[in-house]
Amino acid sequence: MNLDMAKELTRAALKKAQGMNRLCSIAIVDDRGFLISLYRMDNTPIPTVDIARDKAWTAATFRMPSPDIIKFGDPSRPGYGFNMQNWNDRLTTIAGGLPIKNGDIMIGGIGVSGGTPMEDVEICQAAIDAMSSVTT
Amino acid sequence: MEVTLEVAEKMLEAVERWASLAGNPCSIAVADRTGAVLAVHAMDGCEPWTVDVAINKAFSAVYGGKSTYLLAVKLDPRNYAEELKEGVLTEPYQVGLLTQGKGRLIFVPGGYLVNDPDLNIIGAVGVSGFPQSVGMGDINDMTAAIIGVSAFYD
Repeated sequence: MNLDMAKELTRAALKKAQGMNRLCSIAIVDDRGFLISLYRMDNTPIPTVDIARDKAWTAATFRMPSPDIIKFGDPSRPGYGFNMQNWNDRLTTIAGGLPIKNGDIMIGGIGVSGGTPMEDVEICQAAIDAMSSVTT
Repeated sequence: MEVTLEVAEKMLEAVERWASLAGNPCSIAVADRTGAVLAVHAMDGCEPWTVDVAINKAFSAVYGGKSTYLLAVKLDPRNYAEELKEGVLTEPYQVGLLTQGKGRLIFVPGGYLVNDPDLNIIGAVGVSGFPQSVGMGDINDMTAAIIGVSAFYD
């Protein structure tokens, strides 16, 4: 993940969000969960910034879509309790964060906040789809 | 007059171009009049912490109402350490501000305000990643932030 890729992803996500007539924040992190770029559209509520970043961090570090974290609530599963630990104050189980993969290799994560959870996931997916020609 | 996402991108580009000319990757944050980020970029090769510092510098500039360089005058404990030993502070230092902002307040140079012609605060730029050097014309976080602010008025 580098800044140019993050810009491409953000541009695609912004276009999709504008097409859906939604105000949202878009965060891109690298494979370690560190922030690369963070955008908030004009007049979007302020808390969406941090929520978008949390979603991207969760998706990138756990290497799964952010709502899948609730799977760790099952005691028969390795990693039981990860969903309750919330170290780094960033863990979230709200939908809207997706890992970005190149084949099997993790390259980063994207988080969107502003619409309904379904819309957020849709915007994430649109951004990743737009990038697929570059990442794969 | 308002700092919009479109202008914020332009400001980021200007600082990025300047930073790559200077050969030093950095993180840049642009905040609006609420102190919340509008756009943040971490350039390739900069340390991960710089992005948080850049965001907090932009916030601190709005929160404190002046550039973080000027905040340091009233806030930096090194400025009044000697006077504290005597027990009397001769200047109105803003010691109480040190613990405010939920740990986000930072008084290291690099946060700079964007004003409209009536001198109302409409936004801020925060830059982190350059080594701190003092003196006019030096390349540091504050001069990089000023590049971003001047891009707003272009």
